[in-house]
Amino acid sequence: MQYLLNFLMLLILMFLTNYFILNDILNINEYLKKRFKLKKNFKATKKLKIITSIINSFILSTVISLVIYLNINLFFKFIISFIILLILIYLLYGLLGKYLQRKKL
Amino acid sequence: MLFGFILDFEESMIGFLLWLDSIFYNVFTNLYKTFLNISNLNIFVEGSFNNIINNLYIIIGIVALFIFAMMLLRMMVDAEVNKSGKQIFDMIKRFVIVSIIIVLVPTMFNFLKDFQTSILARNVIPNFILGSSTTEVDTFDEDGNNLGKRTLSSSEASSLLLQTYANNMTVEIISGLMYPIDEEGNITDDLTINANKFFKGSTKAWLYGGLCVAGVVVGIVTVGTGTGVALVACGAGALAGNLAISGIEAVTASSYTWSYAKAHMVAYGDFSQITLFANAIQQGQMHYSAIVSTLVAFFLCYLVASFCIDVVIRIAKLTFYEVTAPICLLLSIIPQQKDLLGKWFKVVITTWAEIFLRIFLMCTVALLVGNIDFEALHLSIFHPIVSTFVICGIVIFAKSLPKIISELTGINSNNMKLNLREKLAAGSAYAVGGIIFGGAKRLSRGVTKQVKDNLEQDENGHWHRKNGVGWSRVIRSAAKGVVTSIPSVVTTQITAGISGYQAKNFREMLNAVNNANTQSEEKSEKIKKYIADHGGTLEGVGLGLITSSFEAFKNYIGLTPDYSVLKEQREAVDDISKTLKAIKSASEDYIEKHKSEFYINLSEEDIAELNYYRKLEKEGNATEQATARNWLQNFDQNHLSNRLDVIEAVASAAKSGGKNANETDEQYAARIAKATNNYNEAFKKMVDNFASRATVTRTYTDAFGVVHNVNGHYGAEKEAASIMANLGAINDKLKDYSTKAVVRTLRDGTPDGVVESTIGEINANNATKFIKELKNATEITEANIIRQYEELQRKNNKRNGKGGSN
Repeated sequence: MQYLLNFLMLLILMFLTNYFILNDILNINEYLKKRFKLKKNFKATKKLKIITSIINSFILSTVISLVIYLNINLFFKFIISFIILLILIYLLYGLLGKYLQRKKL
Repeated sequence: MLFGFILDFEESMIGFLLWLDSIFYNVFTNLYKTFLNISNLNIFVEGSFNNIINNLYIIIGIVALFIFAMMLLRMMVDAEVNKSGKQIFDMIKRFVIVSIIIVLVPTMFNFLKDFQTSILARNVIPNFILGSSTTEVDTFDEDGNNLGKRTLSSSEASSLLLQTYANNMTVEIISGLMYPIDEEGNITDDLTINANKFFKGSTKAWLYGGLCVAGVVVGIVTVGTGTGVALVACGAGALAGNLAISGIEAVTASSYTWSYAKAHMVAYGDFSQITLFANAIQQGQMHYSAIVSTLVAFFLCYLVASFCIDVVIRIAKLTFYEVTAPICLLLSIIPQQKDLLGKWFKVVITTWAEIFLRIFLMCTVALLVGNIDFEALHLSIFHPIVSTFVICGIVIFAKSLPKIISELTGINSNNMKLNLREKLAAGSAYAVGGIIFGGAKRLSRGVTKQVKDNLEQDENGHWHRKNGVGWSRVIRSAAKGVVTSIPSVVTTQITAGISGYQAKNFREMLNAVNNANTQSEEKSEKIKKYIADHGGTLEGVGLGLITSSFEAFKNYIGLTPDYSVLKEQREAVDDISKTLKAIKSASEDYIEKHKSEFYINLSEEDIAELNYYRKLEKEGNATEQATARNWLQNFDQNHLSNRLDVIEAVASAAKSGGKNANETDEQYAARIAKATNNYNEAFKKMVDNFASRATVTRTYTDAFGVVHNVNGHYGAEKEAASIMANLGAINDKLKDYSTKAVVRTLRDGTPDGVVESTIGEINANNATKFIKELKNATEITEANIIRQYEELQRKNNKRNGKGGSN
């Protein structure tokens, strides 16, 4: 239960960080546009911003929750995190991209 | 006798200055010790803090890795970002380097901390600059006899070492400001001089004797007021006199050497030793830079106090740099942020080295002040002035030293500023001051307000208790003032604290306190008004708060109607209100001019019959007119007391007729009020009913069974037409708004309900009902609609670059 609460707290924190800070830095629209060949006039709506923030916060909180309890060297913690991050980003943004393609955006 | 007195006075004054110096040097030594202690301390709790730091380190590191991963993926799919094709390989190379550095960061910080501790613990910089090893100290027996030097062992407490370092630094400075001179003018520390404690008693005698006289004078002056001040002042004076006598009795004499005193000061940090040399200074056996020495001591206190704040800031900074290291390091992998790594290293090393620069600065001051060639200066007959200039010059140089160091080393001197006032402002000292003063002022005002209710002012401006008010009631009201002021005190403290945070000096802080008090009073008035507006009951206020909170929440989450919808609502309310006013105005104008045509409490049949005969009187043949006139006269006689102009005449007569013989003032006032009220109510009733009365056509059946159509109010056809036109306009607007989304969508569950119920039978009353329902449907009061509308319009103007309010 405690772990779940921690995860939820982290999720909210990460969502806020993403929504207000990271989304603007990362320029995810460009990534989606290029990777899934979306229309040139594709623009990020508020809804999409919320969805990407949810995805990012989920990825980050999952990785942090997993790695923080691992009793290994810091270096390996970061290496494992990086690998999981790449996998999750690729998979979850893949799903979002397919959805956007289906919507013919 | 007089000469002896002057000499005593001179010695006392020197003693007093030395006593001041000793206080400042004590403060300086303790501050310097604190400075060294803080530098070595780990101010954060070890266990839990380290866990938090580690977790933060991981979280921040993973967020930075996430940014890096996203950048990498984007580079892989976006050819524009990875134009040369080499950038990905560069990034991976930097990633490997940075990953190794990240892992080494905690070790690096630990190394820096250990290195700093060993430098400070061994007093490396002062030993290097001042050239003295303070690991050897003098020891004394119980009688104060010097037993020679001994080396402090490493196992002795570091605090003793730090104390000794601090004492040594202070003695170095003092040595430059006071030193013995032999008969030939040479400086020699081992010269035996008569140090006595006379000045101690003398100074004490002067000070407390003065206080004694002052106390007695105050007692005599205030004895007439009977307030007890006189008694207290005399008591204090007597006590001071007693101390003065004890001071005179304390006079003893002993022999002493300056080198012995210095050794004692280094060993024990007892700087009151310098006060023993007042007599020697007065006799010319010692040189003493009076006043300058005090100023130097004060400046050093200021310097080291400023540095103490810097040291804590430095620790916090280093911790922050350590925690945020992964962000800077991982972001430096991104090509656009290449320089970040170098910047981070530079800022960490600069911050770490700040402590040594500060110690260097203090040691330089000590070195320069302690090594002035006073023998050379003594060649001049103006040597006291020259010495003063030299010492002042060194102090001024010390002040500008941070800037010089910055210019020489390239290290930003902003962090080396000595301005304690700015540091206090940056350290929220004025915010804390704002909180304290703001709260105190608000509390005192609250208490004063409550207490003043029980007091009254006489013609001389003195305050006294009101008749029948006891002290207990005054105290209770003061207590009540304290309790009732608590909420406003808290809000004032918050406001004053926030404003105080931005204050740059004491004056600005006081302004912030005053403004916060004014705002708090305004808020109190607003709250009182709010309570009064909501019926003054707990339920009313509670409901009001819930409603407004709900509205605020809706605003926050964006459920409030948008600009265009608000505009429509505003127009709807404005249009219909305007038309209703026009109807009311037309009715009032007509009734005002034709009061004799209006009777109150008539039935519908009576109205129809009356208007039939009015029409007959004007439009019938001669017989009909005569009949109608006769009928109208009879009707008027029967309903005379109900006629509007008669009711008004009764009210006027009551006012102008004066009081009846057997009538009291209250009865007379009540009679006038009743008559006036009767007229006002009758007039209002007529105005409210005029629209329906004037515009509705009635039917009258005469004695022969013939049915006649009768105008609503004969003679008011023109006004009736105007009212009808206005009602038609309302009707159109109601139809229009009934189809608009504003009404339909905002009314939950009953999309067209607002208008459907009223549109069928349109009249003035129903229009009013419509407005009410519109407001209910949108759950926004008219004032709110207008406020939100104006707010949005202002924002819109601002966005379009028009600026200002509408």
